[in-house]
Amino acid sequence: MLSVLKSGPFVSLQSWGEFGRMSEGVTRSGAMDEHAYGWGNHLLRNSFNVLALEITMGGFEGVFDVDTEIVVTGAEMGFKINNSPCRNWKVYQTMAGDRIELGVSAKGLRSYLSVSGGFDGEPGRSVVKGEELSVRSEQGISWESAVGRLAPFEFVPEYRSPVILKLLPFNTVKSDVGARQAVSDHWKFKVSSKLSRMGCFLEGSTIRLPVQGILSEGVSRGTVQVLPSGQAVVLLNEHQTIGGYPKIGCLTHRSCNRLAQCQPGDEVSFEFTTVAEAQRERREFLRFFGVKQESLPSG
Amino acid sequence: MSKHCTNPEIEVEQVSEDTIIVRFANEINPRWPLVIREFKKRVLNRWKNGIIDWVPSYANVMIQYDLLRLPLEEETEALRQLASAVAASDIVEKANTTKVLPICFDESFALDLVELCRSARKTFGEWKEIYLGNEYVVYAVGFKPGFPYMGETDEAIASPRHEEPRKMVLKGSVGIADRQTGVYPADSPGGWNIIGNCPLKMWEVEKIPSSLLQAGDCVKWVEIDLDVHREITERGMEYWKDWSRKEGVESC
Repeated sequence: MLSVLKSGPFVSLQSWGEFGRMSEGVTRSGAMDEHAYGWGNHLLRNSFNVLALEITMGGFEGVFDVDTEIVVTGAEMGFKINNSPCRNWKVYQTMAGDRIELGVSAKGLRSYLSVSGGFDGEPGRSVVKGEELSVRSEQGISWESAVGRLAPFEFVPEYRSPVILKLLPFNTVKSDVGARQAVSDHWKFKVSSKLSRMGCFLEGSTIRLPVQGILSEGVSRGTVQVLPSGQAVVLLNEHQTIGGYPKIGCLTHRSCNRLAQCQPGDEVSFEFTTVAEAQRERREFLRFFGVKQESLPSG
Repeated sequence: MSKHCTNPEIEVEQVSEDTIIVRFANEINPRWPLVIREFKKRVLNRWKNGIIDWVPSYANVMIQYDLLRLPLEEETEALRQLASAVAASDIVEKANTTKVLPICFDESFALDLVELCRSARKTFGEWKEIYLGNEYVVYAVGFKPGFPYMGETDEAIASPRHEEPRKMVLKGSVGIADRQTGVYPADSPGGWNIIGNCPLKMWEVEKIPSSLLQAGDCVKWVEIDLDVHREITERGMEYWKDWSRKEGVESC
């Protein structure tokens, strides 16, 4: 068990996500930064989608009552074990009685605390002070030790501002030369404090599109919608499944993962990319983390 | 129920690395959800592995696929042709499932009905008859899990949504916005005109699927009184099925 001694306001159990239910209005949810979450499980040699703690903005303290192995990935939150400063992206051995601590995020917004075998529980559930989280490794599953494993530096982001987000433009923008120009030259944004697991508002440039609304259609993670006010909003993991606001394009999944680490005030801008390039990157990502996705049943 | 639809061209657009939208038309027409339902059968039959999600909405559908198992981006022409074939076929007209749902118009539930009758210049009885006389097609389920967007209400009783949404709309509230009607699956804020309440659960987490309605379903409403509403609320779907059987009405 991991006994929760302190918990910030935005701590939850997250998996890779739940797919196949958007037709009922249920979004994928899951870890907002797939990269950091994925690396946690990968370093521990866990299955790609076991539960980790997602800690947004910071604040967490817990004590294990078993020996296990853990890793913290994502935002820098002054990770400590028994008051000794530890580093992110590295697997540590912890013993029963060890105290884990995460402070407020200095760089990045979301951290993932992963444990060998993953946590037990309901994906998406908030975690509060006083709880006891069951850890699967205590159920006698033998594993190969991962202690000391470290993510290679080229995979560790620095979470610096300004950030360039890669955008797949939609047909409405692709065919409009003026719009393309505006995207690359003029549009500069700051991440708003209005952000959540549903999405992220952007402040700064106002976008003028010829249409105020479109016939509602499904929206994907990363879609950049333009509200009637001209404000842009990027839809993330818990976005509404269907939307009628005009859209200019969709961020690549990788850029969504990066945006999920942006703090309010961070500067962002868009750069166009191609479907082929984005897919090459995504296929590599899915292969690396061994992501298995279930198909809808036919018939 | 089906109107003649003209469809100039079906659009197929890649909207993210792993998601494609097929747009049949740019209009709200009760025939399209039925076309899309048939289209789903054919797509899943053609590509048996690799379709991860399917999001139907009005006259379009968003398809998410597994990049590692199915390079669907190479099949946009095949998708377009399949979509055209389904759109043109007759078979769609006959294939639908009709669900009969209960609605209680008691004044404690029907918060906006007096105003709607007034602006439509109809008596309460006339208004109800028009609403109950239609069969509705579910265009999409979304906004909140289990919330069905249905249409088309008669022109005579169409009404725009409130400018200021209510902070709290009761679970089960049946609403009208323009020519669409829907049911709130849970207490929530809401801007639709509230005309009554449906005691069936639109969303049940323990069931798979959890949503009572799906895009492409046809819905007929039957009026119930406050007592029956209470009974169904307490005893659930079984009571509704029994009640409708006794009344000689089809049920869900």
